[in-house]
Parts: sequence; C-alpha cells; structure tokens
Amino acid sequence: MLSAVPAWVFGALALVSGALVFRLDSMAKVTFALLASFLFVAGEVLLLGLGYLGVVLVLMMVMEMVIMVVFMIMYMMNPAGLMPMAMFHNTRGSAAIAGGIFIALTVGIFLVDWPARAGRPPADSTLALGESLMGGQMLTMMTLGLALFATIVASVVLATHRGRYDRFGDDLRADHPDDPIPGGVGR
Amino acid sequence: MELTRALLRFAAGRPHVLLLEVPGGTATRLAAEVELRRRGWPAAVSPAEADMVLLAGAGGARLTPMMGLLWRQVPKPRVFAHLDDAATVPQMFDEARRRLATGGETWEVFAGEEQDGDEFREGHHGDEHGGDSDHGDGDHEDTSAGGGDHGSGHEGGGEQSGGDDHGGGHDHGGGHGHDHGGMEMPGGLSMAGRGPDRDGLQLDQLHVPLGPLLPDWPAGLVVYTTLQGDVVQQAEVDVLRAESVHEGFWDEPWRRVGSGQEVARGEGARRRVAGYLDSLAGFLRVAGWPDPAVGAARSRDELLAGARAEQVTPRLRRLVRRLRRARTLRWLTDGLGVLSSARAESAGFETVLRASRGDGDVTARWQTWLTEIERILPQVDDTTALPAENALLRGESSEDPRSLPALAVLPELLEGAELAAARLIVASLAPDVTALGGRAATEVVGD
Amino acid sequence: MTEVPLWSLAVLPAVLGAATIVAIAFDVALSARAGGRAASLTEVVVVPLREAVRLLVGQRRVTTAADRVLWRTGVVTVPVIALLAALVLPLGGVAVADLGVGVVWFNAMEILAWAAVWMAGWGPNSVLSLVGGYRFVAQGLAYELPHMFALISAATAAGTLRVGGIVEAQSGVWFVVWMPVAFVVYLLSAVAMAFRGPFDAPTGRDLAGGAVEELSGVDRLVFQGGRWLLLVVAVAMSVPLFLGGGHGPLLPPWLWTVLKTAAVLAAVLWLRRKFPTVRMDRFAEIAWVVLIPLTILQALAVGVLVLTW
Repeated sequence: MLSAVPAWVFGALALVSGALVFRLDSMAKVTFALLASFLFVAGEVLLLGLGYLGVVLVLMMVMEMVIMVVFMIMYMMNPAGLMPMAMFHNTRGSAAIAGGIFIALTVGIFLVDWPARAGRPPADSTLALGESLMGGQMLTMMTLGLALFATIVASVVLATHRGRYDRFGDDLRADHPDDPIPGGVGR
Repeated sequence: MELTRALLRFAAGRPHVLLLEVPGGTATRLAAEVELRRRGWPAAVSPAEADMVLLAGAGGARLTPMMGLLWRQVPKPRVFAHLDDAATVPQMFDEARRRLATGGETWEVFAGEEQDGDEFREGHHGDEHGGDSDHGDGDHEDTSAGGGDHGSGHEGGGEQSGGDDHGGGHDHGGGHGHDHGGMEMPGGLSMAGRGPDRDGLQLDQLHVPLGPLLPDWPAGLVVYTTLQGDVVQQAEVDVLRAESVHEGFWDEPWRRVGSGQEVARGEGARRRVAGYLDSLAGFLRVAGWPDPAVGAARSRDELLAGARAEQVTPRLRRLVRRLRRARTLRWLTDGLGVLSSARAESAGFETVLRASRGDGDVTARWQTWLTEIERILPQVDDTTALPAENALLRGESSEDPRSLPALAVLPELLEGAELAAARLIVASLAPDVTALGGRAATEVVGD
Repeated sequence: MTEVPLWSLAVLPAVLGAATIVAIAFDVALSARAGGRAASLTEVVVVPLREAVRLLVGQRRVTTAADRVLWRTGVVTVPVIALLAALVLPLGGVAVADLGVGVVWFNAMEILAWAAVWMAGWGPNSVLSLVGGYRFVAQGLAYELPHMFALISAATAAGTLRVGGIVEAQSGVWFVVWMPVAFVVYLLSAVAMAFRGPFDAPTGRDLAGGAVEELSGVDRLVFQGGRWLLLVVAVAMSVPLFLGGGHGPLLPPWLWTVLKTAAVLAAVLWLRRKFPTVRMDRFAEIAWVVLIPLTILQALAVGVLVLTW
C-alpha cells in the first residue's frame, strides 16, 4: 500500500510536533508546534479519503491556533511569552498520566477485534457526511449550533466589563456609544 | 565576479531611498523628493528596505549615535549620503547610485563633516547586529532610532526590552522585571514590565520612541511613548534641536523682509500654500493614500519652483475637490485627536490652527488646509511688496511662544490612541520644529 | 473537467509568476502616472525583475533575540499557500487538481496566511513589526466570515464544492448576476487576505512597513512576492466562482479565463488608488454589523432560489 508510507510519516510527525509542545520554551513556538501536530493529523484524515473533514480540520485549527497564540501570549505570567520558559507543571504526574493513556490506547488498538469492512465507501464522502449530519441528525446539529453560539455570546457578555449602560448611558438614550476607540458604523 | 557586478549594476537602477529630514533640512529634503519623483525611485519606509539612506539637514551630536544605530540596520549593499545643499542634490543622487552600483560597502559621508563619518564607522563595526547587549536595542530601534542621550530607557524599542532597564523619569509597574534576574535573557534584553491597560488587564509596557529618524514624521520631533499593544499609554514630547541656529524654511520670505529686502506678496503666498501642501502630502502618506499625496507634493514643488498660478491651479483645484469628496478618508479620520475648543484656546492655538476651534478632529485639520490652500492660491502671482510690519527678525520665530501649542497638546491627544491614530494625529498637527514655530510664524504674519 | 498530467505542477508557478509580474508592472505604471511621469513599457516590465535582483543581491538581516524559526516559516508560508490555493484554480476547464472539496481547500490554504503573517510579524522581535502581525489577525477576524458566506453562496448555487462544478453551473447565467453582494464581498476579502491596499494596514507606512519592516534580501523577496501571488490567486478565483470561469462566446475557454482575470485584477489595482488605507478599528464594525448580515441574506436568497427553481 503506497498510502501507508505517508500515513506513517504523518503519524510520526504529528507525534514529534506534539512532543515539541512540551520541549520548546516559547509560547509562540509551542502554539505553532501544536498547530503543526493538528495539520499532520489532518493529513491522516485526508489519507482516509475524508476530504472535507481533513480540509476543514486545517481551516479550523489554523484560525483557532492563531487566536490562541494571541491569548496565550497576552495572558502569560511571563510577559510577551518570548522569554524562555518551561511548559511543564506537575512533571512526574502528567508524564505518568500521558504515558499511561498512550500505552492503554496502543494496547487497545492491538487487543480490539476490529470488524471487517461491510459495504463500500460512498462515492462522495462529503455528500454522505452532509446527509448524515443534516438528515437524521439535523435536530441535534441545530441544537448544538445554537447552544455553542449562545455559549460564546454569554461568555463574552460575562467577560466584558463594559455593558450597554456604560456605552449608551443609564437610560440607553445616547446617540453615540462612549467607546475608547469609536467603531466604523457610527451608531 | 563579472556576474555579481552586472547584477549590482542592474539592481542599482531603481534603489529604494530612505529619506530622512532633520531640523534645517527642509529645502534639501524637498529637492530630494523632486529628484526621487523624477527618477521614479521608490521611497523606503524602513532601514531594512533601503539601499540608500539620505539625510537632509545638519546632523548634531545627539543625532550621530542614532544615525549609527539606524545605519547598522541597513542591509548591504548600501550607501549613505548627507545632503546639505539643495543645489547639489541631483549630483549627489548620481554619485550615490554610482557607488551603489559598484557594490562595495560605500557608505561614507561624502559631503558631510568628517567627524560624522568617523562616528558612523564606529557604529558600523557592530555590523551584524549581534548581541552587543549593553545596547540591547540592536534592531528594534527600527526607524525610530530614538533615545540617544535621553536616558537609556528609551533605547529599547524591542519586544522584551522596554520595561525596567530605563533609568530616567518613568516609574511603573512595581518591579516585575528584574526578579527574574537569574534567568538568561535572550539577546541580553530585559523583560518588559507590566501595567494596567484600558480594559482592566495587566499587560506589558514597552517604551518606544517615535522619531526623529522616521519617514513621514515631522523633522526633529521625538515622542517617547509607553505602549501596551499598539495603544499609546503615555507620551512625552521632545525636540531634537540642531546645534547651530536654523531658520524655518516656510517663513523664509518674511525673514527676508525683516532683513530689509523687498519681497513680493506672491512669494509669501506661494510659500504658505506650499507649506500646507507639504503637510497635506505627509499626512496622506501616513494615511496610506499615495496618489493624492504625490499630487500634493507635485503641486508643492511646482509652486516652489516658481510656476505661475494658472499652471498650478487646475490640478490643485482637482486635488482639493477630490479630497473634499473623499468620504472614506473622512470616515477614517473623524473623531481622532479631538481637541476641545477650550483646550485649543488655552494652548494658544487661536491664531495658529483655526480648525482646532469647535472641537476639531483630524478631519477638521486637514480640511482646514484645503480651505487655506484655496484661499491663498489666487495670491501667488501678487507682485506688490510684503508689508514691513509682517517681517520676521532674524531668529525671532524661535522664541515665539505661539509656536509651541502643537507640541503642548500632543501628549494628551496621543494618550489612549492606537499607533495608527497617533501617527495621523501627529501628521495632522504637522508641528514644524525646525525653527520651533516656523509654521506658527507664517500663520501669524501671513496676511 | 479533465484531469491533467503531473507536469502541470511545474507549469502552474510559471504561469502565476508571469501573471504576477504583469500585475506588478501594471501597478508600477499606475504609480508612475500618478507621479506625472510617463513610464515606458520596458521600464515598467523591468521593475519587478530589477526588484527581484535587488533583493537577491541584498543582505539578509538578523535582529537581536529574533525567533528565527517562526520568522522564516512565516515568510516562506506566504508564497507556498498561494501556490497550494492555486492548485484548484481552473484555467479554461483545466485545473492542476480539481478537488471534490476545492472551495474548502482554497479557503483553508488562504487562512494559513493568518499564521504566516502573524509569525512574520512576531519573529524579528521588533515592536512595529509585531503590531503589523497583530493587525493582520484583527483584519482576518473582520474579513473572514463575510468571505466564507460569499464562498458558501457560490457553492450553494452550484450544489457542489468542486470549483469545476461551480464553473459548469454558470454555463447560463453567471453567478455575479444573482449574487452581486457575494461577488463584491469576495473581492474585498480577497484584497484583505493578500493585505494589499486599501487593506494594507498590516504593512502600513505608519508602521514603517509593519510586518515587512525588518525583512531584507531574499526574505523580503519571498514575502512580498508571495503577497502579490496571493493577490493574483485570490482575485483570479473570483472568475470561476462568480464570472463564469471559461464560459464566453467565440474565444477558447482558457483565453476567456485569462481575459476576465486580467480585467478583474486591473479593476482591483485601479480601485485601490481611490481609497486610503482602511484601518480595522473602523472596518471591523462594518464587517460584523453590515457585511455579515448582508452576506447571510445573500446566502439565504441563493438558497431559497435554488430550492424553488
């Protein structure tokens, strides 16, 4: 199997860049090492013939990690995150947990009685994915989407220390919001 | 090698030029801009982009270390030239290009004082920006190679430096920096300190000087900023004065009257329109609108070269009309750098910048330039003599107390602004510190 | 759409490179005209070449305490993603790889620009450069969602994510006719993702070059060249998405594609000169409060039309 070669290569690279997350000493590098790890995983997904999932993984992870790097650096105890720093907390405990889980999963792979393939892969896996998500599971997905959206809005509302009363005055009658930097719409 | 030589020659056909102006260099800077436009050479915006660094105006002792620092950031092949005479600018360009084309490390000051050259040579030894850690500034100084003798605190514009290594003046952020002393600092830089930001977070503070060696920045102006992210938390204004007395370029006709010469009214009007156009061009470049900026600069240069009103007027009217209709530009500059009328008055702005009345913002200020240009433009061919009561005596403008309001209000306008807005605010005030108040003087004595 | 042989992988960069050189030359000519100088054809065509040589013989710089790994990675990523995104770009019915998920692939590649520019801004350990990198992330947050809805509109109308399929669906009416909002928003975001003017704040003059401030020599060449390439690819993609790809009377499809691409590119470069640099503190609100609802409505309208037609 020709695709076995890239599969092993991507797997190894994903592991290596995953390990680098703990070995590197800068927040910025660490975040992008994590991104690299995700991208290699996306490569594996693509090799499985799941084009849409693989590419969406790339898309989401890049956005996510770029936003994450901004926050990681902003919130670092260590200003700007560029100073060398160790990425470990509770070194022994976490090493034991991580090693244990890795061994358990690997053992699981060899012990599980994998089923033989029944049926054939769909001609268009994207279509099949869409139909299974938006067909029978439509209600679940819609609920999930709304719940996620509500969570985002709620957490932003909880996090910001400036509410509409600060912006538009106590009776909410101000024509223009009182913002440190005015926006472009001019409401 | 023959090939390398050929490539260098080819590359030198369109060098990127970092044109820097220091007090007293207005005339040569204008001549250099004409030359750049004529040759179609692009203006570099940072030392890293430049092949040629041209310094217009006389350097001083304070400037020399800054220039050395900047020079170290210019990649080879590179050429430095000191322009101190507007008349020789075209020859200087040819010479600089010839040196660039022959590729060597040709950077000596071939028209400046010998002493400057030695200083630069010294700075040049640092060469590859390695970790000469007592500076800790290396490249972060960027184009804003500030600091100099102003206390080491302003040296480090860098990511990590800023914080606690500065001695003079500012006190902030209760000791976050050096308690990590045992750790090895990358590049010998120290850690940034922290302070509360406007959203209630504790964020890093960096001390970054803006100017004086920054393109599209008023000559000789230095603003020491404390940045959190790109928000200016604190600003302190300083002026780089030339050692010898320099007189403002823009009020020169009135000074000639003062020394007893007969000067035509038109010449004064010409100089004033050109002054506004120069401010406008600089502002538009900072606003990222190159085309009208070039248009304004062209009209300015034609006026100064003595073009008659009817030659300049049509293009200038088109430019003014275009800018008046520029809704995007207005949208981008509205509400920036608002100067309340009371503050404008108390700072002494009443005659200097009419737009500052009635809570003027950046938009109001550049629109005032347009109005002034339109108002004065018809007078440029007036041949009657400038009245003697408007004359400026030698060195007078330097002591004019009304020349300072722009510098006085700058810190309060800049604090809380983002970098982009801060640049626009500075460009919209366009303080002419060359003679400390050249602009103010023209404004006062103009009519 | 036909599959093409492997050698097309080598042709693609050459074609795109040539298109980029033409685009730069056109831009130089526009600049010269604005400066009141008549520039000859040879002069403007030589400019991109001269710039390349200038940067190749130029010295590469290193800064104090730079994060070299991320810096160089960011710089190299820009042209690489432009080329990867171009894999799905059809030239008159032929694309190097007409992937089943072409639109999503294109989108994923261009999003890598976020990481690239941020890294390039972060790397040199320089304030203005860093601010430039962050500005691009802010810009990305502003343009990306409207951009995605614009892509979704086109894909919904064609009923496929395959770029070839989208072109085929426009054999009658071009998509630009019934989704003009999506088209305009797409072009805006294409320019914004290549951070070219008026969306060039990340590399703005006010930051002394921002993300490119510290770049010199070959690094600068790769980054700036990649930026132009990104613009050309992103703008060229608007042709298969909204302007009917190779469809057109008389002329062969590839020529139509080239002509349309050239026209849109010229329009974009010309329009750029009509606007000053747009800052994100102003534009972000427009993007979220105006453009996102508009593009959602556009996608909704397209969806309803597709279902009822």
